[in-house]
Amino acid sequence: MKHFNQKQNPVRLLMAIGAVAVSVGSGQALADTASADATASVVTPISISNTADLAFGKFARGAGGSVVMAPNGTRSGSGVVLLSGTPGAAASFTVSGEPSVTYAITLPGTVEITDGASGSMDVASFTSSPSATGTLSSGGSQTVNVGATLAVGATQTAGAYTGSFDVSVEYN
Amino acid sequence: MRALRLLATLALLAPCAGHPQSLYLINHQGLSFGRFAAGSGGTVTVTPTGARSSSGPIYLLSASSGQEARYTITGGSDLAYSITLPADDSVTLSSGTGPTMVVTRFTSGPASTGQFGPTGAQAIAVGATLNISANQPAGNYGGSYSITVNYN
Repeated sequence: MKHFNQKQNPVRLLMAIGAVAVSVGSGQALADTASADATASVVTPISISNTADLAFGKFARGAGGSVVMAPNGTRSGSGVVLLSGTPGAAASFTVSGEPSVTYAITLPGTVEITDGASGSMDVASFTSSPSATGTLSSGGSQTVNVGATLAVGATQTAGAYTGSFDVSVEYN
Repeated sequence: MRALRLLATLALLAPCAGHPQSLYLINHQGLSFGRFAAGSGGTVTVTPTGARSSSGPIYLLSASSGQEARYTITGGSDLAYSITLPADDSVTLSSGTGPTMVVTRFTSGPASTGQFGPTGAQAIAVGATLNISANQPAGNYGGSYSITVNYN
């Protein structure tokens, strides 16, 4: 307090305040920078491999009709006589990819199987389990079973008929 | 003595004459390119509006579609400001192992220059393009980048 009695000091004080004010002013933010995260997740490509073929087994054509193979391997017939010794099987596929991710299953429309000569039959109404959408396990795989319906003609020639079909999968 | 007082008074006033309010930029949502399968490589772009697209045989998973980065900037009413985005190839995303991915073509909304309204607060959104190599290893990739705003 004693120093304020000296004549020069009020001016010095003002100058000091001025200097402080300037330094506060220059500390004012005329620009600002913000950091942010950027992320991406690359997933394992999806793949499908066939592990068992679709087989309608043996049957007598009877008056003609159809043979249905369900995805769980259950066979049923309509208008035909099924031979129990060769019951057929559903097709089986293994889908592999990113764990716990869902994917879409695309089944064929109508596929023709032939006896290598003039005989042919249509395979249609494909069904799968899981149907339409699958979910890969925590280990990144899932089994997809596929069945279908075989149309048998009233004059269907006896023989072994074969053909092929495609099942595709894609991530949702 | 009077001259000194005047100088001191000017010094006091000076800070108030320029920009009355500090500029603050806050990030409250990170930039995400979502999930995708790399295939044989390509790009994934997220726009400032959050729309995602790809080029090349990249397969985008719809369940994780990515999002734009979001910021709030506050400053002086009606003042204009500029936005400085990262340069191409200056930002990379890494999974910690294996090859990284480079981020390019940062874009913002508003683009390059914005102007505050009466409230002195505005939203900024940022997007960019991620460059993916053929057979980019699967994994979670992360990185960081900065944007800067300045009064014009």
